[in-house]
Amino acid sequence: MKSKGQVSVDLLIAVSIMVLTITMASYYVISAFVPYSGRDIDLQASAYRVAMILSEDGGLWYVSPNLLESNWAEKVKEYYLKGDTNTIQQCLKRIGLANTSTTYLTKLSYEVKIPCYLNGSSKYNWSKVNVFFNVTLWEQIWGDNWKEELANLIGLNSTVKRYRYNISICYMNGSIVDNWTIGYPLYMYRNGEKIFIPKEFGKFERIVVVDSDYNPDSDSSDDLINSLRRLVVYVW
Amino acid sequence: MYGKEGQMYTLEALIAALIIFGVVTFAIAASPQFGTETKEFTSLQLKKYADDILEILDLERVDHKSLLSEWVESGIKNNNFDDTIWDNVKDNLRRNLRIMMHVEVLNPNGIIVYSYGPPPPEGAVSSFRVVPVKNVYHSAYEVRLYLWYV
Repeated sequence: MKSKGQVSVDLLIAVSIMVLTITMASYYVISAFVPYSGRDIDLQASAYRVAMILSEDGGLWYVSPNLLESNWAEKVKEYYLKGDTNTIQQCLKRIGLANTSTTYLTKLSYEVKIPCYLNGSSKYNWSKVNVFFNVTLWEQIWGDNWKEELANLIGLNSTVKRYRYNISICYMNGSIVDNWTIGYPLYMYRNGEKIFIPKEFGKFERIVVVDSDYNPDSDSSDDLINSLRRLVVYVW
Repeated sequence: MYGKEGQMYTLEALIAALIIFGVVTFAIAASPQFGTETKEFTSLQLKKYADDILEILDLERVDHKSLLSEWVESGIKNNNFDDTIWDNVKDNLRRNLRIMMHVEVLNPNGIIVYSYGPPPPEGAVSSFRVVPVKNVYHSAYEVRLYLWYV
């Protein structure tokens, strides 16, 4: 009986070594493909990047080979009212919603960005926020292809990958401010049931204030707290 | 199954169970951790919330001061910090995002001169901002904001 038992334990050890070998081999093989298989990670990173560009960057308008300015909404207004959509297509290089400092630091630079302080107040609603969320305007500039063109301008699409996105500015409780939402729909209705469309998605949020709601020079801390908004980015 | 033979089978079964348990434990520990990045993004989200709140409170005004710098300066001068701003921020974050917060103000020697809210648990994410102030003992103080999900 003793020798029989020993043989069985040997077999078990052999099987265990084999299982360990397979485990280690599969570990190295799977690890080799991790950078190419993490779609969730890629979507999260893309959502993070878009949220960062929109909340921290002022955008870029091509003026000349050595000069790019961030007053893109004013330029869009100027050329749109002239009926010159070609110039908008060519010169609008990136969309960002952050204000630029134009009064306090003019001696240093008039292109100092103010992160999380979005440009929403402007005469005739031609602020960066209002222009960005104006679907009709983008349709007239880019035609049916506007969603893809807009994706390029917010740092989302590349030559390799195409994403769907939905971007909103919400109150802190999650309800959308005015009509400040753009992109592909997040929900669809089937038999009266509201269905969330993205199966895998990346989501990132930033806390922002819009200058039409809050003026640091005149408003109190209570006004500031009531003016906090959420910039919500979904990518899938 | 009785006597010596039974004893050997029991021993074999025990050894087999131990070996299999060891192999399974090793395999789980050695497998690639695909979920780690998602956890990192959760921390990153909290970090950015904290960054943004401090950034917004520190928005520069025409007089080159901000709500945050004025609050620190007043608190240091009067040796009494007003909690109102943080009460409002705390309520807003807790109600809408289910986030808790803790605030500290530290002098350049690292000594905490003001503390607000419950102590941050392990895993809380923090962000800080160095706020320049005038007419007080030190020329700058660090405001540190800790956030964590409820």
